[in-house]
Amino acid sequence: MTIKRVIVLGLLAFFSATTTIGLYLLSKDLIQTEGTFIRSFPPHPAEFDKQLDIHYNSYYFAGYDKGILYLGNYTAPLVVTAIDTSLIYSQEYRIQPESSNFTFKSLQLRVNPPYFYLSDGTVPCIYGGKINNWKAGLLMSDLAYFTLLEPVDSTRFVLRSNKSNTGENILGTFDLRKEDKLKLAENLLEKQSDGDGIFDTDGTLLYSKATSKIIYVYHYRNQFVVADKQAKLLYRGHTIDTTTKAQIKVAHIEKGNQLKMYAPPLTVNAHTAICEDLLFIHSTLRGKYDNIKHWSNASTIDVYNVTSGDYVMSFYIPKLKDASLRNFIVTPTQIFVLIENQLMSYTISNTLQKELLKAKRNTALNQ
Amino acid sequence: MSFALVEHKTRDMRFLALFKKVIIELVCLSYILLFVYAATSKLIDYENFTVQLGQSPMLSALAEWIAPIILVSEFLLSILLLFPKYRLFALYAAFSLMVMFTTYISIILHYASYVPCSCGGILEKMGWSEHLYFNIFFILLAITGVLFYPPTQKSVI
Repeated sequence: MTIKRVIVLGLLAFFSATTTIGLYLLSKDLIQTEGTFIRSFPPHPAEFDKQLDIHYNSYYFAGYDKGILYLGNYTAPLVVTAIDTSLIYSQEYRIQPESSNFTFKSLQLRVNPPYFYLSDGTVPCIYGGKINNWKAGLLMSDLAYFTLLEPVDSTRFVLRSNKSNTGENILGTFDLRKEDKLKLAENLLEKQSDGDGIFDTDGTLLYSKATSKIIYVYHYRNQFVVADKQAKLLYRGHTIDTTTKAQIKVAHIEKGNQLKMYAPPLTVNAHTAICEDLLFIHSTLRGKYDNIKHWSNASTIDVYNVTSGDYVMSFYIPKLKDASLRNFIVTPTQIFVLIENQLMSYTISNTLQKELLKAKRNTALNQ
Repeated sequence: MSFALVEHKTRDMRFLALFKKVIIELVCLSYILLFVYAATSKLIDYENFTVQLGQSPMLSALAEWIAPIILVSEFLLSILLLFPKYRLFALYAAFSLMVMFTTYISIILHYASYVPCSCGGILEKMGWSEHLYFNIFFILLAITGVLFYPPTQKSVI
């Protein structure tokens, strides 16, 4: 009698435990499946540290290296502001570009110490120099118009251009040392069936120094593209939300041959940043179990592993009154955010730190 | 002499049977209290409960399913524990449910990438490791209940 009951208890215990473990594994699997849209919020991955008034909302992050942030400024494109990561000391530099008769329309700064690059895709031109004297020489002009540019190393760049006949977005790499400088990667960006290849493929371009990967995150659908530094496709990943199709209506205005957005588009992935092997995406959509109060008072950042394409976790960056973040950058220990005319720093704490270290180890192993 | 011994023995056995019966009653009572309390507090704040399950590093994708199942099983088991006819079965079931909860907590403590915020948790003031001990105690209660339960005629289980 007793023995029989002990056996039954043992069997029950075994089956109950395996069921729970099975459910755990199933759930883990489901989270990575497209369309579940369940975020996980570990406790406090990033804690607010400091806020600095930088007086203008025209600043943007141009780069980071060894404890120093470099900020560019859209309205004063030749000014570089260097701020230490404790947000105490700052210094302004003035870039001196080689003289030319270009008319700049949208100069963009990238600092990738010891080099910096100043580019304007509408000219088109790329200036480059070293940050010890901020003197910029012309590296390239009149090769291809581009709309986005990220430095890969001292002579190589990844850029986004437009196909000359259709105007569709296209990614490419550009090497100053090579005879055949520009190489377009036709297959990386995918136009959607009823899209025009311009608006529906719009997104943000990143280059991960740590893993030597090019990442392009679409603005209006739940996808991102990961390629190696030769722009060879590695894989197409998806973000956890359910927007598989870009929801954009484009109106063609005969007068002046213009294309305009018919209705405000549904932005999915607004801003992005990369650190080590982790991709950070500011997503504007609310997940299935997201607390509506938290969600509406903050910007949600989703973290993905670039090597595997897996979703890692999410966290919130609170809004400032009603303004949400417009630019952010992630270092191995901190997150810096620009909201309105404020620069804020967040300290990365244990849960996220652990993922970053894991990513760093994996990167080291792979190289 | 021998007669007295037998009588002594039966008295002992009768005492033991009574003791076991009391223990079983206590075990069932504790389980009823626990389940009714836990299920009611989940029901009162049902949305919060689903959200919490949804944000735990495991089970999140299944929260919609699991939340009502847990709730219904807890209520059902507390009712079944009231009826002697179903008591043994209910004790086995309660034992299984407790093992499941305990496995869940152990996975969270040892394998999950993080331990979810227990702020506003199910049994609010308890930390996760205390919760683990609490559950193990209840598992032991269920085992005692099952083993002390008098033999049934239809000894299917």
